[in-house]
Amino acid sequence: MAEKRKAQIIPASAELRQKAVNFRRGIGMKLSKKDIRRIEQTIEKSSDKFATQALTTLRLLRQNIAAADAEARDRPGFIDLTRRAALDMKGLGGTFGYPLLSSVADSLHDYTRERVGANDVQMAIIRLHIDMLYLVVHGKIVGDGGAREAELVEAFRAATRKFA
Amino acid sequence: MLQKIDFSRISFLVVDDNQLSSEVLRDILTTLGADKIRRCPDSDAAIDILGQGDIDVLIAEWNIGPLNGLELIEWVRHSVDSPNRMLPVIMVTANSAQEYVIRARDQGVTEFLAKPYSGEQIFGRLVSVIARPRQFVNADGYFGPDRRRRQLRHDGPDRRRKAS
Repeated sequence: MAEKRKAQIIPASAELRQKAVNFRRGIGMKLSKKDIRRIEQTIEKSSDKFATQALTTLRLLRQNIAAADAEARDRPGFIDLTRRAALDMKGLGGTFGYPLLSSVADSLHDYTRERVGANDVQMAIIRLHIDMLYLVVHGKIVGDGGAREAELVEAFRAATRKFA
Repeated sequence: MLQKIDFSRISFLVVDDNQLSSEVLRDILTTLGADKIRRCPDSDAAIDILGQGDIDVLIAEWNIGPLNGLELIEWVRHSVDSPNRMLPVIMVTANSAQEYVIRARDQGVTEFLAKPYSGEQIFGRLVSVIARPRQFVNADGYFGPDRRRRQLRHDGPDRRRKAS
């Protein structure tokens, strides 16, 4: 049996540190409240753009689900589209102040992640998720909603487990 | 005196096929003072840009094509065409389940940031790769930053070999 090679340790490169870390120019390594606010404002600037794009995507999904409901052969393509949209909304929702959207999108992404086809009940669960996502963006429900919304997300999760 | 990071001294490449996500990262970097920011939507363009050899930090999404983010890290760490096998790589992705974190770590990612993220979180990852570089390990089946973050006391002999 071949002898296992010993691990070789390569010292960390100090190149970037030497280039950029100093005492005079730039941003403090511990962010000040003012710096944090500036970064938040930068993100907030794109929040409306995110909401507009999310609504456009969700309208498209709502149009396409009717065709996928009617024709089983359209379902894999629809599910693929839904999976990617859910992943994007999960990723961006919370960054733009829509953590509830991220939670519902996370549930939808988990539900469609390994799925190729879907029966009628599974399609109904996907539709409920899409409708909820639409309501959250259209109603500008920022933040995590509240207790009722948390219950709704849990209900979605329960449905996805029951009809996996 | 508080140490600062001069982000204008560092060049960044953001690889994300979601335009809004890529724009937000660019805007955050610009707010921090960076002005050398390149962006592209796929791995082919990323490899072209990286091949030019003037990128200091790669920020990549997992869900890109034709190579996914993990395969792009593999190219950076192992390809003979890679201009810098020790390039800091921050993976920013909505694939946030633990299995993805472990896979990215084992492929040699420097930092992993799950979407949705806050401005402070991305800043923290940037500080980490620029100001607190980690040593690299070259072992059977792994080349990348030392995956051990905590320095635990070890009373036995040090069998690891320092690179000459």
